[in-house]
Amino acid sequence: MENSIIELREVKKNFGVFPALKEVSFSVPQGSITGFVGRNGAGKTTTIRTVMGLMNYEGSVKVKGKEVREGYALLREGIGYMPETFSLYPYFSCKEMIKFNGKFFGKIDYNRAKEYAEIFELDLNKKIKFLSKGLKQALSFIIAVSTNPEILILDEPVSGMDPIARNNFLKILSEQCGKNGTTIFYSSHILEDLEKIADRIVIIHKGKILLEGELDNLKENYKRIAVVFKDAINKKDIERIEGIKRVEEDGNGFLIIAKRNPKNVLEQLNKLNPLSMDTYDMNLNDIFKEIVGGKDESTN
Amino acid sequence: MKALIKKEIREHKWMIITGTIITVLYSFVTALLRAKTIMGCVTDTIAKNPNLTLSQLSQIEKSSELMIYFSKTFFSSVFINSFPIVLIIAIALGVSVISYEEKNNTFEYLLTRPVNNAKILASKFTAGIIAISLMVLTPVLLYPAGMRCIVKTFISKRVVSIIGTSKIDPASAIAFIKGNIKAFPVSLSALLYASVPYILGFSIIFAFALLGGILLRKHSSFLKASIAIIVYVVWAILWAYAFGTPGANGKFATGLIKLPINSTLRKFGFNVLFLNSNYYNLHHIPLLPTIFGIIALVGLFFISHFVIVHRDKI
Repeated sequence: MENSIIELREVKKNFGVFPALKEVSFSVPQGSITGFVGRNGAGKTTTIRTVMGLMNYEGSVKVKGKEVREGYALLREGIGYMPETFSLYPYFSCKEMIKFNGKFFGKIDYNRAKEYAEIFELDLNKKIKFLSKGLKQALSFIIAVSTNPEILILDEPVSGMDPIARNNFLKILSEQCGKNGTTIFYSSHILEDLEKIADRIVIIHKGKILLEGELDNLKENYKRIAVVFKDAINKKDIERIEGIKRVEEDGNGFLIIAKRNPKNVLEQLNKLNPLSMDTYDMNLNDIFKEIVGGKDESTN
Repeated sequence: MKALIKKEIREHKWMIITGTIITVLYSFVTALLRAKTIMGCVTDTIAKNPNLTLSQLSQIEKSSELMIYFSKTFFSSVFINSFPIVLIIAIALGVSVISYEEKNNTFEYLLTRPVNNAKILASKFTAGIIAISLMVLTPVLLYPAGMRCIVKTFISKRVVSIIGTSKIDPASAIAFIKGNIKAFPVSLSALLYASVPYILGFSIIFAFALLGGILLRKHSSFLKASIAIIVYVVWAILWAYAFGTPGANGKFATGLIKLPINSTLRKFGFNVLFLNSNYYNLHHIPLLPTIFGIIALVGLFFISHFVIVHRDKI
């Protein structure tokens, strides 16, 4: 992609004999909010750590057009990074931590940090060791954005935040992207949040990229269709229709998941004289489950 | 870089403060004991020669016999006696500068800032050397003050009583001794000259421990502590035996382990880097050991840097 700010090509990474990343390729366009989704152990954190220059790898990882392993320290000047695990000095106060971080970047918008701290109800004079998990995450986030980065890389940023803090977080994130044009690369298990703000989605599974694309296109393509036929129809006849991912018998009818060109699927189903046919939009959570598969006990 | 060094010192401030307090206390206690010995040496000289005049006493002092004794006892007191404490803290500091970061996940934080890994490592090395310098120099600089204080308070009476048996006017003898103590033992620059190789020696140990800390970062504290103890014991054996310990009349006892390069090392004063106190130099910084020490430190820095860069493979 021409305007990619992060680009991975055939990236491989092994931990001993275990292949953590198997020829991972995707790109993050400049100014986008890209959601990075996958199950536990799919390779999200490994990918992010590779992009941050924390791991050796095979293949190519480029940030702002430059290979990560070459002179990467200088590239990090424009990157705000929030790792999955807290990486804060417990003996610092929040204020000291923000200022300490600012010294690496040579610039810091302390007023903005203060403003965000008020939103999260975070006392900047408090020592980090006395903060709750959610507040530590809020501080990590404030640290990442207070240097006004060009790219914001977030790895599971809201796992400890309460719903109000999460909403505030999403609001700030949207502002950051809208006003400052920050590119956001955001890994999370909370897909409802991603759905609210992301414009692109990358899905990784067992070290391989399963899907990369615009969220709107994805939602346009994935539809749930409930259909009831007058006559008895063989399930296999439906499965033959192009663009169908899965067919499930549901009482007198079928529950169909279309993954591509749902208009064509509907046209083909119409030809089979359905008694009724209803189309439903799918949310990102459902789409993710369809793509990645795996057992989900809650839906049984 | 300055912010990083400050952070390192803050992170280990209790270790550094404790180390410095212990070495200073040790130095004062040693001063108390040594002061008695030194004063005993002066008074014994007078007692043995009841006809000794002040100018003759002065001649003895000038013949440097007394000064050598003063200097030797001084450096062996401060360096050798505080050596185990500084060594333990240098090892603990070296191991913990990386493992503390690993424990709090802050190493990843540092490695993702727009700063070279080499700078991060350099700040850790610098902080370690500053901490060691503090622990070595503080007692060294306070020792003469402690000695003077002790002499003034406790010894004068005894000197007066012994000097009373000689032909020397007690008042001038006391003035002479006090003058000696005041000038004791050598100038500030000489103290610093003598301290540099020791600081380098401890810094090398610190750098070894730091490298060990990176290599063992994922292992338990018990294993780290065990390895630290082994390093300490090996070093102590080297110090005590391989390079010889001071014997009677300033001669060296033969080391149990006879390294073939032992005599060459001694000749150039290299064993000062191994914290053997008998090669201190009061007139200049010993060039070869210092160069050797700096090269060793730089070498350990590059090895540590290599390990950090390739840490996920190691």
